[in-house]
Amino acid sequence: MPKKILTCYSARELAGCSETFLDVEDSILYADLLEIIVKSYSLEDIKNNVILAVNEEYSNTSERILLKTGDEIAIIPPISGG
Amino acid sequence: MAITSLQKICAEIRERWSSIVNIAIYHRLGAVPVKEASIVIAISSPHRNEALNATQWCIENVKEKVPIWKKEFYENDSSPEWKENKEYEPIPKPPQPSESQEVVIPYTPVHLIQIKASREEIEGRIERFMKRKRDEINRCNIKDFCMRDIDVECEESCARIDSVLIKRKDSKGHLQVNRVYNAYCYRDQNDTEYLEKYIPPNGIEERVKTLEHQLSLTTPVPRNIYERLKDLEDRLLHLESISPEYMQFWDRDNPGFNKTFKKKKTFHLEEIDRLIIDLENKRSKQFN
Repeated sequence: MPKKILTCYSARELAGCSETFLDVEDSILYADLLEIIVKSYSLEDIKNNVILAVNEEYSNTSERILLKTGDEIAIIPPISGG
Repeated sequence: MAITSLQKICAEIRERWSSIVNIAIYHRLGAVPVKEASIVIAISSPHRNEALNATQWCIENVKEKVPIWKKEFYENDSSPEWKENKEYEPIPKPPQPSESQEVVIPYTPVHLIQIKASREEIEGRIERFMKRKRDEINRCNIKDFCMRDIDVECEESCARIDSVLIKRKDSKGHLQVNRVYNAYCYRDQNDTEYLEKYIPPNGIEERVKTLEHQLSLTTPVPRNIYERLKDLEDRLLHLESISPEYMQFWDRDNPGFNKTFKKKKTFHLEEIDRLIIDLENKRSKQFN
């Protein structure tokens, strides 16, 4: 099922797009999901510095993630606001 | 997502500091020239302490969690750089698989090793030593506090539940009576946080009610708080005056205390007659 992928800022420059769709399984381990996303958008450089957020909610890196069609996965590189 | 994160932070601030009144967080977007501020946080509370702590906590968390990025552009620099906060770390870290640590033991000559026992034996020795010490303490306690022979084994007994109260030197009785002179007045009520936390809004009413219940003042109480207090004081003084424990405080100079009964003098008829005659004589002398 296709899921919407949002990339933020530095990830956007590496991936070359800000918004795209990706077909991943509905139930997936965080580590596997990250692996797939990194491979698909050649984000190896920042792999160890990003966190994924599902539907505007930081996801737990040690848990299994449950997804459904239309869910938004955001790639959040190191934050630097303020 | 930035706004939801900010709202989450606001909710957590209110949870951590309940007296916070208003929270305003303003973050600039777009180009921010050098020397200009990018964020404003304003938090209000009745006392400054909470607001200051909350503000510090707020900025730390905004920098850590709110997804806002900045990119630094320099003049004549073709490659602007994304900045990273030092607060940032990919939150929930994956748990590290615990590895059994291999201890590397450097070579030691055999004649330098003092303890050659195995791990099990050392642990067993420590265990037995602790048991021996515990038994020793128990024996001492039985000797000190229980009036029974140590050698008599008793399954359902230990020093804690078997102890007998022994009257110590200079102790007059089992009830200790003290008089406290409170020179400071309300000395533990300076801390307002403590007051708000532990004393309910109608604290005085509740305390007076409890006191009246304790002192068995069951009759309808007067409305006026001062009259109620007076009743409580009277009741306490009465109870003290009839309790032998307070004998040392009894006021012996009070005429009401130790009333000696005076027997009234009785007169014979002749004596009364004589007194009347005397009185008449006196009066007649006065008038003549």
